[in-house]
Amino acid sequence: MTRISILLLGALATLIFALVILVIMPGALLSSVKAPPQLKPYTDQELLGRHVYIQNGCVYCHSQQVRDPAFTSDVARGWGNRPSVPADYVYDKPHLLGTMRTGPDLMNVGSRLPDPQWHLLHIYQPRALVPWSIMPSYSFLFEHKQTAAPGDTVLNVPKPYAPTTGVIVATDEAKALVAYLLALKHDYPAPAEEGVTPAATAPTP
Amino acid sequence: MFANSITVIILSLLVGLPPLIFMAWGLRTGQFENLDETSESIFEEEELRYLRPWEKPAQVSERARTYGALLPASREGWKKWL
Amino acid sequence: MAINPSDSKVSPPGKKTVEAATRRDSTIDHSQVRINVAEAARIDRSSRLPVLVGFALAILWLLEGTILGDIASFKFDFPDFLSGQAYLTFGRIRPGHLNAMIYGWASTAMFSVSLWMMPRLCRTPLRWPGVALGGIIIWNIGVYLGIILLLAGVTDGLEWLELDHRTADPLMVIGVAMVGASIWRTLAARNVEHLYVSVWYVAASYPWVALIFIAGNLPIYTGVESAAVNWFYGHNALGLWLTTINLGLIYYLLPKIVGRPIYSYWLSLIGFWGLALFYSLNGMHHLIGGPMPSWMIATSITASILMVIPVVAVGINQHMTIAGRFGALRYSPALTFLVLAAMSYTAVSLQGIMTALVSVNRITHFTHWTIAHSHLGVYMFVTMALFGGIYYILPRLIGREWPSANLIRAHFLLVGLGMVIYVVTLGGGGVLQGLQMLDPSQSFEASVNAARPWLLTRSFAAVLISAGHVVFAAHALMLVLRGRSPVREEPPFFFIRPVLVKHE
Repeated sequence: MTRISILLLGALATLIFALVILVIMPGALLSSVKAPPQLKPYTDQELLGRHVYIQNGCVYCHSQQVRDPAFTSDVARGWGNRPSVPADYVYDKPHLLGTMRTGPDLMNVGSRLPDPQWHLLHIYQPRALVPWSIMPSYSFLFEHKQTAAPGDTVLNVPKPYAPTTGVIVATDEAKALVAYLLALKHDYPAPAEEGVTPAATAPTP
Repeated sequence: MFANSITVIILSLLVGLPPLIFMAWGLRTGQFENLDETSESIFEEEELRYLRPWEKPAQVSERARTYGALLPASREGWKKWL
Repeated sequence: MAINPSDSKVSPPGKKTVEAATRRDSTIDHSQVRINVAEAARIDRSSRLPVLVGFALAILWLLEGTILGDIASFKFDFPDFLSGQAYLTFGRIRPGHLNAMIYGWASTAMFSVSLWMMPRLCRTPLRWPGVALGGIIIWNIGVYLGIILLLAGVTDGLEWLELDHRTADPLMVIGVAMVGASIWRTLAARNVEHLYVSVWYVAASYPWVALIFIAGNLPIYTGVESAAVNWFYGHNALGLWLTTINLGLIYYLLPKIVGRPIYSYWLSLIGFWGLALFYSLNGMHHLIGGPMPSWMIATSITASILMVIPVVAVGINQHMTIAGRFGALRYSPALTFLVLAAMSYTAVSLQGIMTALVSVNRITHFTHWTIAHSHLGVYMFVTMALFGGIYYILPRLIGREWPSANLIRAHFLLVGLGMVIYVVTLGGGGVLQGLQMLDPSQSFEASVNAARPWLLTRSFAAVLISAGHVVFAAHALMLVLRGRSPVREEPPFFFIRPVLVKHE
């Protein structure tokens, strides 16, 4: 090869081809996906919780997607009642689909585990509830106080993990994180045709 | 959801066309000729004529046949290549 | 004491030497085609400063990334280890490790490698070396800032794209653009007619990485589109940046050290353009079964399978270049690392193609198999190639040999052994974990317990690898500090006992 123009243009052309196929075209197609009526936008507290989730890298162990039951056991395992569709994610920015399941999927954790007290204690010390868990303890999201102030959410920590004196109180961040987890309920019926309205389909000649 | 749409197929074919055009252009302007010369261009002068201590006799004679009388693999000379 | 060709059927007796030297193709005068040693030294001097600074920063990043990786690994075995502080939590240390290794260690070392290779291949001194040096420094400031913010809890939340898009990413874009400008300016000023295959790889990588990095970091995507862009970027950062620069390095050094041109230059052409076309479409195979339009996943699976073409082309080409001459590994540590890297490239690519098949993916997706696979790629291929490059390049720039063959040997054995244990045990553990997860009659606990022993062996492997890195960094420091006086006459591995092969 002798000309750098061919190298540059060839290299750019192949990449732009891929960009159009995998970024620009899906972007145009998916922008027409509407939120299903049962899916509510996140509240401010849930958004803060989502921020805590992202900040502390929950996504590196927990996925948020239920895959096709035709070739996976996600539905059989009780992680959801149907495969996830693009419409389930319209309020997610950035996405938290995840690539690891060191821990279980959380797409419907709000329906599966609806108790906020359970979640708070589980985040404070997972092994207090699930002895075989390898999830880290997120004790830094909690305060260790001598006495609880009025309005504090006090954790009922079982023996080996409880502090010798005082109480463990959830911070606003911990409460927000739990509010976010409880909001993860995507078990309403899937919107028709994977959320693509007929108008979004290109006219076929 | 969109896979069968003829529009999409035509569009992607159109986008995929430039790489093909550049390839045809490259072939025409002789970008892919003189391949042997290019593959040898990374060697410094006489670099290929040094005797490599790991080569078998057949490989040594092949090297001599291809690149000319071999130079001894003196330790000092080796430093440049290893 | 020239050794005459034993078979003289090509050159008629009489004018043997002259004729034989220029035999191959009578239209080529090799003395014109080839560079001379003095010129090569002059070209090396032109790129010396940015290359050395880049390597120094890269080795510091390697150590930092190693510490982060070790902490992350031990957290699987001891979940309460260092969990009291937010900045030490697993979900921050793990992306810290990834970013330190990809953008700190590998990318900085790759800047140096390309700045060293490009002027040599273009046969002209490096242009704008100050710009290149500035680019390396700005990039590193960006990465450093990004990782500090990441540990402090400021993250974009996307794998491979965590670094903050307001502060770190603009600096990194400026940095890579500056290094790329120097590379392309040098290419424009070239003194060769035909561009060697390494030039394509290196030169194309810079516009590629700049474009995908910008496209990936734009904060405009939501929902599943954000996932599509995430993995478009994540896969291309590997395919169009980490892979390409290192393949360029292998295509340059492997033939040079072995002393014979690449087996088939034509195959290298197929390898390059096939990679450019197919690799860039691969990304969605990270989302198989996920909530993506099925045609996107199908496109990526198809492109992944088509990757067989460039991978096999490169694999055959590199294998045939070294075939029958594996004895050369005894003499050159650089070659040992590069050959291992080249083989790992073929292995990791074939493994990746296999993983993209739905029947395999349903088991291995979401398991530690993925982590083993990415370490086979980013470590066994990319990092090993960079080690090989550094072993070759540093002595030439500093003007003296590596002080100790034993330290090189220790480095190779530690990281090689550690990595084999890592990939084999964690990959196997990932499959066991995946099989448990696929069986709905098994509780989730079974999948956690299936992986735990293999996570422990991974931590053990991580310790071995870390020891190797300490040896390597200490050795590089010794090389720099040793002063000019005791110049070794022999390079390490010259007429010494082989590392792995039994001495006959």
